Amino acid sequence: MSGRSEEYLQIRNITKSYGVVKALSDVSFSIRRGEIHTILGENGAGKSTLVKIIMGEEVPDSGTITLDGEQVKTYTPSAAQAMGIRMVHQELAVFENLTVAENIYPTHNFKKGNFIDYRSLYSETAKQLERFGLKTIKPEEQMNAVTLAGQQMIEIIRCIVADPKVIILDEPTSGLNDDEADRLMDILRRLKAEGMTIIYISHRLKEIMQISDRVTVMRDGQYVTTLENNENLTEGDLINNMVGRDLTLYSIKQPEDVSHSDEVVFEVKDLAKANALEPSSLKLCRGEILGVFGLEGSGVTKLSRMMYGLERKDSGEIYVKGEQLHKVSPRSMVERHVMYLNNNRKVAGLLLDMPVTDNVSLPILGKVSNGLGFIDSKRLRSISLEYIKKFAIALPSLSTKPRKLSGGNQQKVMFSACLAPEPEVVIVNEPTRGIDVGAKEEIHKFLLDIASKGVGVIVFSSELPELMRLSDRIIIMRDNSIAGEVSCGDYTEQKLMRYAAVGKGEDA
Amino acid sequence: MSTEATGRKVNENEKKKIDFGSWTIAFLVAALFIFLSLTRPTFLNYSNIHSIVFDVSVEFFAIIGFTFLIIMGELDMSVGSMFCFGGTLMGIFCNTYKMSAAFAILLGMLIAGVIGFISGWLITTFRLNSMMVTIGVMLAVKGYNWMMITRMTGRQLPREDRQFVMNKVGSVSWVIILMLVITVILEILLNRSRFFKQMYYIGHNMETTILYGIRAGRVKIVCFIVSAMMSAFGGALMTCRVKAPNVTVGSNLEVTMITAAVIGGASLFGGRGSIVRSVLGLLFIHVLSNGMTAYRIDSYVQQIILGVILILAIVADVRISAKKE
Repeated sequence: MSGRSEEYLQIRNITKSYGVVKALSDVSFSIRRGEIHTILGENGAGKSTLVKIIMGEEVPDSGTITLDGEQVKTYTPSAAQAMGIRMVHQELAVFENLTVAENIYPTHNFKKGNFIDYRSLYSETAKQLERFGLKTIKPEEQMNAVTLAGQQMIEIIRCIVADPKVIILDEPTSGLNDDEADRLMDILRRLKAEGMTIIYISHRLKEIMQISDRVTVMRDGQYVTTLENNENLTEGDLINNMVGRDLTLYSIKQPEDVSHSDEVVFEVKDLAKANALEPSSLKLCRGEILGVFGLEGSGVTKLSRMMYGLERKDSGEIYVKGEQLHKVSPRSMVERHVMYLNNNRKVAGLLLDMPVTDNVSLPILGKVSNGLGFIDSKRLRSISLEYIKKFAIALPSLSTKPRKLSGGNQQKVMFSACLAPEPEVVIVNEPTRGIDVGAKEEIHKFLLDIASKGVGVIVFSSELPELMRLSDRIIIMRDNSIAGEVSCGDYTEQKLMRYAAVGKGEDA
Repeated sequence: MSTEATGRKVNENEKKKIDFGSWTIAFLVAALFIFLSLTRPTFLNYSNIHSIVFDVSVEFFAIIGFTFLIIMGELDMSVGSMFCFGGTLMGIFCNTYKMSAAFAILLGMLIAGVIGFISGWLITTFRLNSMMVTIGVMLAVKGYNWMMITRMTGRQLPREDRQFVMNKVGSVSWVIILMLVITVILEILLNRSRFFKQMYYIGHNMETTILYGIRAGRVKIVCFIVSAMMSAFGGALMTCRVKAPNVTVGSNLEVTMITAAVIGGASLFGGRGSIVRSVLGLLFIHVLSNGMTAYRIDSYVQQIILGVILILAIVADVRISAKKE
């Protein structure tokens, strides 16, 4: 037994691809019995895919998972649960209209014949709530009356009452304030003392240092290292391992390559929304590429959507070429030559089942129509062809539908649509997500090229090397606000990651 | 870069191919037409054909907005009661307020338009399910229709106000000619014009269109207004033909509309649909029920058959949409 406890949960050579994108390649490490083991990594490092495989929600292409000497044969959530693995997902999965007690025991373990024995259900729930110090929550209360933090605790309790061997927590503190997070830490320590094995996913370094026994770092779908959390471990060690890429593969923009005008074309002043974004301001000059970096939950997506009018703001002003917009909507942005490249082409940004020509024509319908509103199809074809050539999109014909294309070509079609109106400002989100290296290279070159022609570009990306290559400046977000700014010439992955993970550029 | 070479392979002069699959409805109508002409001697009578096409042409007005909305992935279940509403209002305006027919119809359309605006505004502003909202409108308007029509029982529309519907150009009803003209115009616009092209884009992915500056909500509201107004117009014409406002005018019309549009190739998922094919779908249903009557098939049995056809059409729609994925 003790010999096995070193390698209680073994992850061996796990590989998983989605199309051309390798989410995990040959990942191997082990988790000890009764430890708190953190998995740390940037967005897209492969943490989520890995725990989904452990939880049976995804099937690996190759490799094995072994728990307590027993190898996993079928990857389904019910098989994982039968083995004693439970997971608290990042997005809460609660029954809002049921009581707290029913949420903790959703399968109704308390029965009198065919009826539910509410009295013992409530008394057992009350015991559990007390055990975790949640005395303010009543078992018969409706779930939607409980605070977000309370709901999260209740979800954890639901996992625990099933008496699991391993419990996985995916970013459990992302919705909690400091007090609540502290209380969660206490609970985790208690569970550990009771002998439970805990896999913890987070990128809050302070928390990780407080609670973990060991930390496994992942990067770009690969296993990097596993570190013991002893007095020698520093935040710097973790950051270095998270970012330690071989940067000779990428070129980093140098100060002498920065040559934009001083004319501000786009400005955001104190944009804010309760619980989503602290007052944030930024300025973009003509021909400048401004990078924005942030880890998951740092508010980057909200900032980008809010400044284009895709999400409502509470306060703040937006100026395009000095003119304040009274109504911030995608329409008013497009009218002022500001375009937006969506971060997920599968959700929005393309018409997946319409010909490529329609995709390109959508944003420029006004430009290719005559006074009576009739579309000039010749002009449309020539514009479409122009962009297909510019982006070197591999297409069987102009009537091909994007759904049939590779990710890289889909992305290029989306770029064509976005740039066909000849914008003066483009807000691009994850411009090279999930595409192959060749297409990535072409898109980077294209962005540098349009900027040199005077287009202002804001790049929201979760890939540091991409931002370091493209940006004239990088703004880093953390905890829904702007944590810092680094100018070209001072770029190091460590520095940028330090802002994103702990909010400071230098060692404290 | 290898992709650059393949990028140039785009066929610049590719010819438009005729997509036979999407014209299935035309073949169906033709087949049914030939079958009935050969087996039922009375079918090909000029008056029989004219009466079928006239019925189609009246309901045609209701299918215009309906098709636009279905292209954008929305359903207007209130078409039937709006159809009846057009007649009800005409009855009130002509009988009680002694208005002229033209003015009564126009005013009725305006009021219907306001109701269409309200449903469209609710649906787009609060992102409500259009089917549910318009079922609500259907019930409310139907209630009003029944209430008013019961009060008007026994009163026909004044002869001079309803006679215009029987006017003919040569030997063809003007309503039929109007339908043909509008169909041709709308079909051209749907393919060529900016405003109508947007509807397909919205139906395919509304988020995408919003991202690129199309006011998708506004386009939808306009179409809800069009749907309500044109239904009221068609209903007024129908009421003139049956001489008095009647609760059976437009009853179950929403179901006929869905069946016609879907067998005409429109998709309940949005993004597909055409006026010509919706009209062909409508023609198919009318020829079929005319034929079934000629074969002395019980009207309740006819209803069963229409139900089965609707289900088959929807299964076909889901299959076609699944194949695209």
